[in-house]
Amino acid sequence: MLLGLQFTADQIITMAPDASSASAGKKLASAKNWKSLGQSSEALWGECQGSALYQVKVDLASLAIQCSCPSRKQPCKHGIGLLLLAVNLPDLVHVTEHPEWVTSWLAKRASVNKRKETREKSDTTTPSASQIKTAEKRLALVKAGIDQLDLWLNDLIRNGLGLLETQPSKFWEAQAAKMVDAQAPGIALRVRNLATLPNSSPDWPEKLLWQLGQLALLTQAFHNIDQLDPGLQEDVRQLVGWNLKEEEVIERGERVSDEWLTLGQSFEERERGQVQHTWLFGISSKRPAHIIQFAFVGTPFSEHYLPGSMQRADLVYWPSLQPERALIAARKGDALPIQAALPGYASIAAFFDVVATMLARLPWRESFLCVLNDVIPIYDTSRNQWCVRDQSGQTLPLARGEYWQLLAHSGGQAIDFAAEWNGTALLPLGFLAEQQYHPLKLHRI
Amino acid sequence: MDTIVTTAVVGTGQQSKPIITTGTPIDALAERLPGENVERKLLLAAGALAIYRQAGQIAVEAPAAPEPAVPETLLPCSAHVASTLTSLYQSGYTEILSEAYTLLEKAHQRLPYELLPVALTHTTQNQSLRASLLPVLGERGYWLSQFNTAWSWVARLRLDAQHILPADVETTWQEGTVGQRTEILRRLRAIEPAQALAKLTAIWKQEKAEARTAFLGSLATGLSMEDQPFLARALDDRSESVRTQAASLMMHLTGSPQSQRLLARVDSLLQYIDGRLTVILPAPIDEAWIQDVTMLKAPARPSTSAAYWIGQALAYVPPAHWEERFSATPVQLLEAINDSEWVLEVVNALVQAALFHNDAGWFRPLLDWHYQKLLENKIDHRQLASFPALLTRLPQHEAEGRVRQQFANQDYWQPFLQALPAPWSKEFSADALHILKKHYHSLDKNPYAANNWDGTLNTFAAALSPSCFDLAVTGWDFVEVSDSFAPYWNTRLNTFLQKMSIRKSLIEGIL
Repeated sequence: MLLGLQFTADQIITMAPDASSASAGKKLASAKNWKSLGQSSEALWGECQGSALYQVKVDLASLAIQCSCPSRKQPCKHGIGLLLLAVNLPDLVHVTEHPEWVTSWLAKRASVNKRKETREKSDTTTPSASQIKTAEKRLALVKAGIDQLDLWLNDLIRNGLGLLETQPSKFWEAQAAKMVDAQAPGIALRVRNLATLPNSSPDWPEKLLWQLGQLALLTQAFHNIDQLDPGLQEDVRQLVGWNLKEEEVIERGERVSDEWLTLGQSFEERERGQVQHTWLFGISSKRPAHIIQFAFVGTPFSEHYLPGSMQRADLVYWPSLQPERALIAARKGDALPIQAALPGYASIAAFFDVVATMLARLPWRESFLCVLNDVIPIYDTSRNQWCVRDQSGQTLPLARGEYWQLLAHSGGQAIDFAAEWNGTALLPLGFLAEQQYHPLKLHRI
Repeated sequence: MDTIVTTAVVGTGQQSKPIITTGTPIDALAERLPGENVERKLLLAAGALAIYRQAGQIAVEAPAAPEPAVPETLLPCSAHVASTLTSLYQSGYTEILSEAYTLLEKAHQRLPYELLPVALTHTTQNQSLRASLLPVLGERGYWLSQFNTAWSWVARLRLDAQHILPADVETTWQEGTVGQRTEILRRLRAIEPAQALAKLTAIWKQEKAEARTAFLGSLATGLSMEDQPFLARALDDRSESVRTQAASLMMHLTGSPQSQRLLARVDSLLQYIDGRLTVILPAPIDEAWIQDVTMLKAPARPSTSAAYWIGQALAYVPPAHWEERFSATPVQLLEAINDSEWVLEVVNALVQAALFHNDAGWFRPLLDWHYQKLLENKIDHRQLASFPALLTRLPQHEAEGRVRQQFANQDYWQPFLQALPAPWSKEFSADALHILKKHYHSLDKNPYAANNWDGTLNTFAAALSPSCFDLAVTGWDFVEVSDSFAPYWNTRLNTFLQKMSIRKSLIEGIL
């Protein structure tokens, strides 16, 4: 048995950057492709015979994979293949001493982590005069931009939303560009997203009005930011577009140590790359955490999170009235598979109570981690609609898609279920059936 | 539509007193906003209303939950076997999947739940695998298949296996598609042939030709003389496809008046005197003759080829009829036709007739006759088209013996191997491998012989006995000739070796 790795092949497959890497990794998961294999409490490694002999190593604490192959995809097929082989044929991977190339890699990683910690501790919080000047200049730009946005919003309402039905996308894009120029990228993104609403459904005017209204609420909050709770001030600034560096988050954010369940991931295409949303849930703290990573086209995500695993770690939340976005500051133990019941809500009604409370505190929140116990997945064939049913007979729809794996594993029995709720539908992240957690790799629509 | 939405759609500038109330507690809050900017007031009220509604959302009543799947009686296959099966779904090595399913069934194992969707989807597209997949789907697989119409074949096959009709049989018969109704009829024929015939008779006149043809085909199940009157009427149907279908079925009813008229006509076609079988051509081949031998109205411009009509006339006559009529064995009769100028037409018709009526007494004599003529160079390979079909009707060891005879013929053994049912015996597999390697290693001397072995590699990969796996993956020297086809041959050989490795891994993992 592998010391630090107790996952299923399905969980490993979710780490692959795309279907072809997953498929190629599966083909490499047999002994004949590996010249040497080994494991310790810290790492798993192997030498894979491809066009050349590639050295593949996995840090078992973080599941970071490094390979000497030239592939731009990360993790590469050799890394996926090594993990799959270790899961499917554990007897082939013996506990042994690290070879030199693994020892030096582990030492280098430890050294980098130490430098990072030192830098985080020594970072000064006192801004320089030029930094203050730059910040003041940006604030003035944002204020002017938001004033212009308010006028634009008023014009839309004065002229009537009916006129927007035939507006081309550049109409919205032009206003979004003004917000970019005003250094308010958070608002720019919201404006850009408005372009998808006209004519998207019969009730599009209503949906558009709700979005415009929430944008107005945000600009109103910005105008009155000094009167807001300090946590909410942080939220408003982040929503407008002030980004915090990770060092600032670590310095100012709330640090929570817990056993964290990695419940799943969803992916979102952006103009120049891809956004990865990873959802965690703390067993003791009962708190959700949302880790967001961006990767430019053709480059890998910098951190690996293994859906379906649980690991003791220190998380730091972004400063907020209702902290949710987080980063992992330190991993503190082996990653183990989730096998026990999820700490979820007993009913959909209980989940909605929490959603209401969250919205009351932070009205711009758009997604919520939804963990439900004992729900039955249903495919309503007459309406071609997937949903889950709780023990009280209430239901929530799943996002458009096919969920045959979910249905096959449940067999009509109740399961524990994790999803991202966007106010309209659940985007499934994973589920626990027969003491085994099954992550689902999905794209946001 | 909410009043506030209507106001926003029309535009506040188009209304003298725009209404922005929401009918919720938000209105009281909105009252406290400065009044001079109506648009801003509307936007903030709308934003608050959106949040108010989202926060007050209530889940709706769920549809009824389906009956849960019943507990499994089989154990799932190992993770390693599941992983290999996953690769097979992607690789397209369909022939190996069939063997894997059969092995799983023998080992009382089933597919794990995570493989069910991909296996069902794959088998929906590969119909030949359906029967072998069915036993390894487990209870969960049957349960899951009910939710996807593309997988409805699972329920059909299961009902077939249990010889029962679906609960909604009457509704489907009345309202289903032609395919569904044909399926109902076919299944009912297997249980209650008379009831199925009565059902068909009741709706016959109001159905279109396409449906009548399909329904009529289902009478092949449980066909008997009870169906003769109905078939006789169908022979006069206004649709040609219906008439052809009816004639094909009637040919099986050797006791029918139509078959008796056919026999009367063909009896005068062959004479057996002093050990010689002679063909006496009818004169003239008129409409009445054609109608009697085909059971169909003569076409407007019938063929004038005597060879064609000899074939037509004899191809549906039970071969046993000639044994009885001439008091001669099949071997004697085949010997007796040798000197006839129509020998090939008659023997080909006898092959067709033996296959059509499944007359086991004729398979061996016909195979022997063909093999002998091939050795004597009296026929060539083009006249061996029906040989593989005859081969499949023999017991495995005997069929293997016939193919082994063919190995001596370096130019023509591929179709025989392909016809041979899998898996092959250990002894035959070893012999066949020996021949295959010999051909492969001779490619450097004769590259154009590649066709002889290239096309059979898939057959070998799927049919070789597991006891020969080690022999199959060793003893190959990759071709290193300058011919441009060498890389292609070597790639093909590599694929073969990979398939053998997968089969070996599956068998070791399952058994």
